[in-house]
Amino acid sequence: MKKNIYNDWYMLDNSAKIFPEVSTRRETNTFRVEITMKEVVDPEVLDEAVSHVLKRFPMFKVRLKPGFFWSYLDYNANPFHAEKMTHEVCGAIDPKNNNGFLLKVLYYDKKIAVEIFHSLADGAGAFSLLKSIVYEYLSLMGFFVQSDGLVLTKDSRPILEEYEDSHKAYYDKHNRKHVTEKKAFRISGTMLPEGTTGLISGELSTKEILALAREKGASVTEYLSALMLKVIYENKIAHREHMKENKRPIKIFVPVDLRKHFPSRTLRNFSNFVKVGLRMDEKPYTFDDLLEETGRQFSEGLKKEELIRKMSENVSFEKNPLMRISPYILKKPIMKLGYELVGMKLNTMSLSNMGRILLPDSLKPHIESVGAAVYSGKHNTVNMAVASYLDRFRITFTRSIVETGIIRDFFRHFTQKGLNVTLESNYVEEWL
Amino acid sequence: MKYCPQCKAHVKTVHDYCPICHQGLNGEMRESFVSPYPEKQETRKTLLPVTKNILFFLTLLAIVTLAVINLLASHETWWSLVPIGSVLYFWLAVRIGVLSRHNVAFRLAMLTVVLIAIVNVIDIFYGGNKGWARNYVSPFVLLSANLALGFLLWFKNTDYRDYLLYMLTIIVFSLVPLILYFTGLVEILWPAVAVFGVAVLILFLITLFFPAAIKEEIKKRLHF
Ligand SMILES: [Zn+2]
Repeated sequence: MKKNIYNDWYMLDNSAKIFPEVSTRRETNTFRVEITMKEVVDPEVLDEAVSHVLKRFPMFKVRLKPGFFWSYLDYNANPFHAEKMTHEVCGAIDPKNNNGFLLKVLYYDKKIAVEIFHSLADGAGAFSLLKSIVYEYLSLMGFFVQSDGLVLTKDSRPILEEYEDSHKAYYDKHNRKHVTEKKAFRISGTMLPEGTTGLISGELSTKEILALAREKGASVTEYLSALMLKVIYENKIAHREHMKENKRPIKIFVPVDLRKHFPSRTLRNFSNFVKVGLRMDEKPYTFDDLLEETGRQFSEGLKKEELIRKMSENVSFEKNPLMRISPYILKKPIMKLGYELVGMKLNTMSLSNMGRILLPDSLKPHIESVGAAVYSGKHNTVNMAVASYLDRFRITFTRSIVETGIIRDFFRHFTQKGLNVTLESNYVEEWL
Repeated sequence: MKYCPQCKAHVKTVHDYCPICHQGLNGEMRESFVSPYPEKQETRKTLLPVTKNILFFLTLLAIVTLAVINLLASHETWWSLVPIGSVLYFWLAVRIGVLSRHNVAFRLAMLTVVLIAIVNVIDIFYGGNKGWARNYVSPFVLLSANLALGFLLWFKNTDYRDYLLYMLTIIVFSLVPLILYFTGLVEILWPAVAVFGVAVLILFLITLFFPAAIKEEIKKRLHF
């Protein structure tokens, strides 16, 4: 393979190829991961930490360039700096205003956050980077830190497996049947202005929410998905079942970290999805019905053959000989059109559960909580991201509409059951 | 910590209403409390888009005015196309050369191509096809672009990656006058030879100094 892996170029991985063609200021395809420290962040130390860590993550120190057949990521020699967080949440990252980079490291009060364009990495890759930055930051602040094998430190060396396009390693060209899908129900509302995203997060106890899900025999992700079906139905469809748009299925897009299903160590994209879809106009469902249906769809979607099928469907598109030989200039509109016609409108919302974030013991005294957020746009107007650290289970909603009814009913479900919920918001309504 | 009695939820905020139900909150925050997310600040608008728009508007205005005068005054000949071409070139020169954020090599390559296209159109359609554009102007525009890019590459060799492709494009273009000479479209040999010579020399120097870089660049741009 490559001789110089510190200073090189990379092909976009299979799932990364679509994002540069379909991203706009409204559909930014950016997401955020953040760690809240116990003390206020020192920007200068953070800046130094970031410059050390980026040497360990060469696949993030890149810019996007057009080639003749495909665009690619090329080493970017420009300096990278941490920036003060602004009111924008998962806004478009314009490489021209960002030294060519496709990610940002942000700080605000006690928070350190990484915002990253989806072409570079998925949630797992972004959290790896953020953990390394926090580790290096604390080390530069003079604290004793030890990685315990849970953090990639600047002293370790990048290995080739971290660069792998794992889709290509595990796909199967005989299992790539395309399944056509129906358009999904869209959560309508009053659109917020472009570049403005509403953010509301609620912190629960990990133990309490786990107990709640276990009691119903469901995983936490299944429980949250079923609850979303319920609150979207009650808010938007109940008593209006006869309307045409309400006959569309509510579809919740749940990313699946494929590293948990295949032995991959890549830091780039390697996720797929499970989709929970249900027409809610046909009959009244109880919450238990919804849980059962969600559980069934999850076990279907998580079957190994099904995960490979979804992966192979995408890889075969890229490997199609006609697609391969057509110049990039022609590929661009094809990809854009395909996505516009089908991809975009197939989901009602996305629910990303980044899971439990593991940190070494030496970091724990300095860290308060973790969180994540994904962009919301024209079609997915309300999205959810979940991350937990010790007993702090944080659910973050981002929205591109003004209305908060769905989010209200979602959190009230837990408080009515006696669970503790602590809310935070960026109070986007104050900016209108 | 504040509390929403309707939602039965705690809220960390300086605001007096609940973020999810918009009803009043009870309780107070500690003095030292800092909002969990930054307030909105007005983003500073850069002057660049405005300048670009004004420039575009003025260019359009000039072109329309010229065309209208042409139509009203004397519509036997399309004399206005020459000033329109110049206005267009001026606009492109400022837009690509000064206001664009692309790198220097890209701007130079673009402007070279545009300038050559315009002088040839003027020569062929309005200058009686005397051939001065393709015989003299085009080769010398290419020659100066070659030299300019050569110097750029030499003095800013730290980011040669960004320049190499445009450099190679210009070099390939530099072969065109000589090819045209052998097909008989260009009558004067020495400017074509001069630009070809300089291009080959620069190509030779690049391959001598950055052999791996050239191979890499080609591999990157052409992977499929
Ligand atoms: Zn409330």
